[in-house]
Amino acid sequence: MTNRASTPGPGEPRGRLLAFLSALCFFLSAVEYMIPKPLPFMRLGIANLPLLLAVDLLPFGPFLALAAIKVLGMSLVTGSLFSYVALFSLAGTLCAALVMYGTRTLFRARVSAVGISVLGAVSSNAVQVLLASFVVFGRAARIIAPVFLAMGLATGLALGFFAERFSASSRWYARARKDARG
Amino acid sequence: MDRLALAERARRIFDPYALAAAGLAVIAALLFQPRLEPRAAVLLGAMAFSWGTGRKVPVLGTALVVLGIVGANLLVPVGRVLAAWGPIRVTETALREGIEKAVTFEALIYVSKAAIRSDLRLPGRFGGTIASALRCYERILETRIRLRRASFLEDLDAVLLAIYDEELSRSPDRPSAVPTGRGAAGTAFLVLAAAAAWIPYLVRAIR
Repeated sequence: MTNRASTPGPGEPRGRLLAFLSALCFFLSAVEYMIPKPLPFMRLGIANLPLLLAVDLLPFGPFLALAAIKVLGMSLVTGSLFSYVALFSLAGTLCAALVMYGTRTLFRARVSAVGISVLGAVSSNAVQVLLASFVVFGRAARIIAPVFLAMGLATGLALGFFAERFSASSRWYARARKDARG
Repeated sequence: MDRLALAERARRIFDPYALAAAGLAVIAALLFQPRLEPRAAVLLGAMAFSWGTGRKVPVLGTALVVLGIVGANLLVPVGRVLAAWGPIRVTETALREGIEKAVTFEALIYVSKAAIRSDLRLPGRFGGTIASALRCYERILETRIRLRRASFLEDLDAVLLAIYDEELSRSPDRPSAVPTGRGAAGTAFLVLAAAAAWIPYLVRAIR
């Protein structure tokens, strides 16, 4: 029997959905990895799209497992597991995941995917700037912070609109919803 | 020898767990080392090892990241002014700290890149889900994805549905077909590389 709060096994339908969403995270992270940027942890956040879709698919335990797998798996794929990049990724992803899930739990249908996405992206970037101030930027973080936060706002908006449109029309998403119910 | 052949050869020579353990030992040596030169040596060594094992080594990208971190540190002037161009001042302490942070940052990335392989399997149910996700990811990469602007969402949806259906119908316990190395020569090389990374620290400690 599967505990709703724990990580489902890879053989169970919800476990396979978790694995599939994780694979999507890896794929989108790899796409994002190829886009040139001045700092390796500066992200557009497209890899958070599966997390955004999963807010309405997975219970809290598996949802948090998805966030952790996204970080760990991508660190294995890109080989950044032992670097600061993994630390930035872990902090940003976990913060975004908690904020997105918390927002959905608190406000339910009163908040759209756009709102959830913007809150997740901005909080993720804020945590990363905070970490960067200790690790690489020092006091210059205050100068870079507005650019980072504005970027989070813009990408959060774009991703939210996309997720809203996609989830409304997707046959795959409808199927995933069915599987998520077990 | 091309990158794929190098990666294949590295897979045969090095055990993924020994590689990860060696990477951890080198990272510990790097973080214990206060001087810039040994850290830079670790960076160059890790870049060479990454290249030799078929990993991508984007030299230009690395240089840009180093410049970005040094530039960000120079935004807040600290220490003696070394040069000034209009409002821009290059200060000694900010420059040194920027270079140290950038070298450490990149060294960690390259050591990690050299030490972590995608066939490193983690134990337990969580590890099983990661292995399953990695297999699914490889399936996505194998798929020829054609997305047309006019029907972008429909095309994307069809691809996701096809791969998802295939994944659901697959046996979850299929063993990995990737051959990995268990050779003594590869492990001996890794032990020597990890020991070499500790030499500057030990020499300094003895003095």
